[in-house]
Amino acid sequence: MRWRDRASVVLAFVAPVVLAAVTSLAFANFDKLDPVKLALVDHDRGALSAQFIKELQTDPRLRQLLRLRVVDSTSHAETLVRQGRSEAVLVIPEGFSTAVVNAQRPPSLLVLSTDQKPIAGSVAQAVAQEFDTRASAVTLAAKTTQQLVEGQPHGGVRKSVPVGTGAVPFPRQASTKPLKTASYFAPSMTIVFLFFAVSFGARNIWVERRQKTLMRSSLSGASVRTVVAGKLAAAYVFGVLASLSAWATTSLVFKTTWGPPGAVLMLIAAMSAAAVGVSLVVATVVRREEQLDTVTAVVSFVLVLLGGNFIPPSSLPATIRHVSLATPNGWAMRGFLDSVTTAHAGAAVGAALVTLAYAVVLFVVGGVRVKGLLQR
Amino acid sequence: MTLLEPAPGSRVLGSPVPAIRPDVSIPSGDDARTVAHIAAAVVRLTLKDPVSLFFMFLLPFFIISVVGTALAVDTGRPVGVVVADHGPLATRLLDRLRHDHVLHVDAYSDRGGLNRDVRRRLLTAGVVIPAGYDAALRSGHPVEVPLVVADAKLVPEAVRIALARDIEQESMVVTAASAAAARTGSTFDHALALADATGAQMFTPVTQQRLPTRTTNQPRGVQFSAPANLVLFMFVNILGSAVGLIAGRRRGATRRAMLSPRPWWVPITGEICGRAGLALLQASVILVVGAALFHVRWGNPVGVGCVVVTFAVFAGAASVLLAGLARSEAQGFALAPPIGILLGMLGGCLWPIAIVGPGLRHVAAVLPTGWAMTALVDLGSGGADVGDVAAYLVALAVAAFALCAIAVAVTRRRFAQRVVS
Repeated sequence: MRWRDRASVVLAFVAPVVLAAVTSLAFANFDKLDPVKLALVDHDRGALSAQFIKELQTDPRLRQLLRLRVVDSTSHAETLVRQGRSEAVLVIPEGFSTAVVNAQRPPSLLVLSTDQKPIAGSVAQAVAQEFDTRASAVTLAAKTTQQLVEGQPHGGVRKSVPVGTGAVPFPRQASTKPLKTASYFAPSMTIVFLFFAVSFGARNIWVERRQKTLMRSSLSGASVRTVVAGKLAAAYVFGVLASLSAWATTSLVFKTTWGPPGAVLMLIAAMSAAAVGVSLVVATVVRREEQLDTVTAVVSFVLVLLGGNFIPPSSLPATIRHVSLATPNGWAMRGFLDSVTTAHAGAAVGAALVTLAYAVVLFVVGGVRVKGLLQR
Repeated sequence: MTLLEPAPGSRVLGSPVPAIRPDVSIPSGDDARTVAHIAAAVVRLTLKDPVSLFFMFLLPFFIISVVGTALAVDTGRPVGVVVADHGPLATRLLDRLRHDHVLHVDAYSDRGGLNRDVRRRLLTAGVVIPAGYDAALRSGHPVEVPLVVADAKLVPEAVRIALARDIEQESMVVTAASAAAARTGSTFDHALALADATGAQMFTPVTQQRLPTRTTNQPRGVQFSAPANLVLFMFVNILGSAVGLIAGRRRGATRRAMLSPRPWWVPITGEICGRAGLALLQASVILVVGAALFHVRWGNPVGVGCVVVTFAVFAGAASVLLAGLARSEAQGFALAPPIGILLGMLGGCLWPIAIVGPGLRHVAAVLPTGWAMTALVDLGSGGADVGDVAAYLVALAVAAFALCAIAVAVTRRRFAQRVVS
């Protein structure tokens, strides 16, 4: 019967596919770290700034990060940014080298960026900060040396020792398989819709209760729980098919990785069961049929928010950061992340089992309450 | 919830689909009053439902708060640290990281655990203070401090800068002390104490300025999440209210309303106005509480009012249109959330439009959710005036009027029909 209902087909197949496709499209270019187009204005024209520019032009690490353009004036650089030909500006102020050489506090470097290119601004800021810190270290070493010499009656500089490079922060991937943004949000958004896609199973219980068809069907000899289980099984199959269609579309069309097929199938199977379980419990908790859709929507929204489907747990407020593991979808997301970043199906087994355990608990609770619902 | 619900004990008419009176009379004062009565009843009945109240007036603030925190100017971002070197310099760096208000440092005993939690997005990033860190710095040799990330682009700007700043500032003091000690033959600890005292006054932070651009400013924190959820919840909630109207169709309430002495367009307009009123009420609460509790700058009140009113009418018309098109309540519930979330997502309510590709930006530029969102962001974060967002207001008004016309035309016959559940 569900196949004949066009809305169900929309909900089960079109909606998750469109949603996952939009997500994949939205973040398709997000992970590409293109070199930042940086305009550099050298008002200093000293030895240090010349050395810095040379380093920016020759250091392989920096060349990977930046496409440098040295310009004459700040206004020219600003024009380049407005025209989109540069993404950020770094200004080395006049007297910077002189201050460092004379062991004085150097004037502050200036980074100009736009709200539209926050990453470019951040990269320019990091590069400027690294240069400034190294220059400051030279000044600080000179000052400290001076203070040490002044503190010693027969002291003096015994040898010329250059200031070392020191500690260099260097980004490293947490896994051999880097996590692409689309790989996070494609399964994540599919789970969001899973909650809505499977809710018709529990809704039918209310419809049949209103029409008194469920009690009539029990006269045939089948227990009420068997009939309800049949309805939920149909919703479960729908949920699995909806998730599979989103997985197939995003993987085949948009090349989004969800992880090894075994892990994906496990997690889809477990998460679909948990989503059906949630809808069953919601259906047995509400007092009126009219409340069912709203409560389903509220519960779904809260679960997907706490589970990290819209926002990853690391960006959630500290107080609710660990609540994601109190939700079945939070565990399913953990399973997807583990399977994507390790490319190992076994990595998702634990998360899939916990998600399934949630489903079992929800079915038990819902199963106990469903008879009361029908007798009300 | 709808006024077209049957009154308790009322008798359902058993007639087939009634013929609708073709007369289109000039709207009278009575018609306007009836529209107002229906609209008021829709609002009143909805406000009696505690679940609707929760969804309309509490959930948006929960989400605004959570999303706002996620996108806020950063404080307390979770960062894991593995200290593989137990020398005093490694401890100094750990202390510096712990005292940085941008970061919330969790200690990890091994790199495997750190990698796992970064992968799982429980941590924003990780830092490994490697074995030999102390010895390398004391001797003036370079040492790499790995910053563990799941995806470099997903690490917030403030966290990236804070980590680099802490590591480099610590390095600056230590390398300066190391060089000074070697130059003078003093002890490293003595040189470090002097460098510490001087270094605190030495460091000049890099000045960062934002250049004004013609395109929309990119809001952060609640400046993004408040308008985003205002638009999203106005649309999703009001669209979802279509299910109540479909229930009214199933019960025959809409048929009876269409047979009332008032012109046929009166009950439909009343339902649209009622839903627009609900949307306005919800928006007003979000605007006031957002400003009072979350310190959201909404911008020019006239501009914000125009955006909210036009978008409320659009949402109300969309809801009534859906109620007219859906064949059953199940269909209504099946369609409302996906349509609402999808249009919200494409309009830039789930993530800032600035981070998506040009294709989706063009899609946002032709959607009413995108117009409303862009106008609110321009007014609030961009300091725009009514004139600056006039194009969006005109587009929203035209879309709202057009959708009202379509909704009235489509639902005229559908409301006179029964639906199956």
